[in-house]
Amino acid sequence: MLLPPPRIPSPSSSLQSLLMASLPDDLLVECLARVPRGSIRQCAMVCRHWRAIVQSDPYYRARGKLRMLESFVVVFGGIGSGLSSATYSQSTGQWQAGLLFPDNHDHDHDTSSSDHTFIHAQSAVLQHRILVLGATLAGDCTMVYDTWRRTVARAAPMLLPRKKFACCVIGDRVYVAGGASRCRASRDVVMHEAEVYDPELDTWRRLPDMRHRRYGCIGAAVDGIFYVIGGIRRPYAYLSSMDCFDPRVNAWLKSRPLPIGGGCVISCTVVGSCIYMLSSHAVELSFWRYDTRGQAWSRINLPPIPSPLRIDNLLKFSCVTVGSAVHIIQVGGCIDDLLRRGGRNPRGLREGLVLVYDTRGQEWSKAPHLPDMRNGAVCAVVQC
Amino acid sequence: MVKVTLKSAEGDVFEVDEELALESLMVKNMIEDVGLDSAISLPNVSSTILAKVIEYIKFHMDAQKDGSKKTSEEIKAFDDDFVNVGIPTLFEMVLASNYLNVKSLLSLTCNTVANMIKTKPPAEVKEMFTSAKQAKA
Repeated sequence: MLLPPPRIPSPSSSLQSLLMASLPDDLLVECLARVPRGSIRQCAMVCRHWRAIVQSDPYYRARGKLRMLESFVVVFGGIGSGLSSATYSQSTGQWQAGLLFPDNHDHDHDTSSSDHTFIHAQSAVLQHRILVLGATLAGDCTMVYDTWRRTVARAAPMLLPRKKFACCVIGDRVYVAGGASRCRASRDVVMHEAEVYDPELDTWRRLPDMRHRRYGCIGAAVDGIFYVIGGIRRPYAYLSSMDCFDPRVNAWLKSRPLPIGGGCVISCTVVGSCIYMLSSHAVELSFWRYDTRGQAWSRINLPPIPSPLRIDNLLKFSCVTVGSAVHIIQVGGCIDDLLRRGGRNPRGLREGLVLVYDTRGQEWSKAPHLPDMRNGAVCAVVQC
Repeated sequence: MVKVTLKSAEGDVFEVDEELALESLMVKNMIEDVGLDSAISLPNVSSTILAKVIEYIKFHMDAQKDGSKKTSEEIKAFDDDFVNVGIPTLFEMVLASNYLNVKSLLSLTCNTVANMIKTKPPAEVKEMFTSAKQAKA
């Protein structure tokens, strides 16, 4: 089991009881919640009991109450047996690049799964942990990055390996739906199956099937509803609908329409009760807001990305939310290369654009570029 | 000035101003429930620690009064000196400030513990907490 157990276990060994009996758990949480972020890793190494404490819900909540959580944007890429990462801190306004390798004891030495190709992976954030789902070409690997302990571990893979699926977090559960399964030596099968992950038990469970089969779809959670947006049901057959799952009734609700007929959804993110979505229709990019309460789509200011531009598999954008701002991050590919391939003049646009849309002022601005990283693909915002 | 009588674990009696006693939310609730007629028994707090807690509250109440000439440096110096105690005593103060529900003291003592932990390697932290327990035993 890789994620923390549901409850803080009572200290077992005599040494541990000797260590910990001096302060009850709730006060130990109060004390340990006051160490700076960089020292949590050390605390987790003191003993098993402390490790369980710093991984617990009360600990995360205590740090939140003490205003010790900060938002970071993290982009991952796959390199050999490890991950490349770039982390953006709002307080410093800078990116920091790094390399991460899975814990050896959690690592099976299967050569096929040691190469993390993140092209079709998705991320899910649970408190201070980032899950990278579908992290191999076969879509059958789950990795967990613990931002406090700065460790990477493996967690249970989805029951049905998939790529290009939709994903979201509701409460402390991760939901996935749709995507394409890669059956060996045969064509991809478009899926309508959905699953939910319980991090305490490190297990996946099947949910009722989605109304439509779709892959290349994107996911978002608003007010406890899992939206599975767009995608295609077979090559060139775009779906202009979204499926909505309500975990409270464990059922798929009536599908809702998408405004983009024949368009490709690129990425989306949530601010308040609205979903912001970047999409492309042939060579035209568009940016949309969906008000989930009024159930209405509206088209909003286009991001400052040159258009016409056909988004292909090499060029990849990811949308994330920091506070009330949408960040569109070019996590892979190079716009100039794309223009060159299309026989047009490059425009001096380097890689790793970061565009920020202020949802209050409704204006675009630029943030520092993502540093060079290999196979950048998965993007997440974590409060840790 | 109305006085409140507090009784420590050892049975020692401390007579303090009501205003001071009310800084402990736990004592405040007790007074609201049972009134001022009898002594308030605090079986979880030793005389030494209770005296320290009273000293802490008194200093901060005086410092907050109008006409107090205490600078923030002096207050900080008092706090630093106040928590400059052995780990067993520090832990007892964490426990007592939590039990008595004195938020500012709980925050001060927990911060002190956190500061001791944050700069030390795990083995030293382990050592520190183990010896605290042994000294207490």
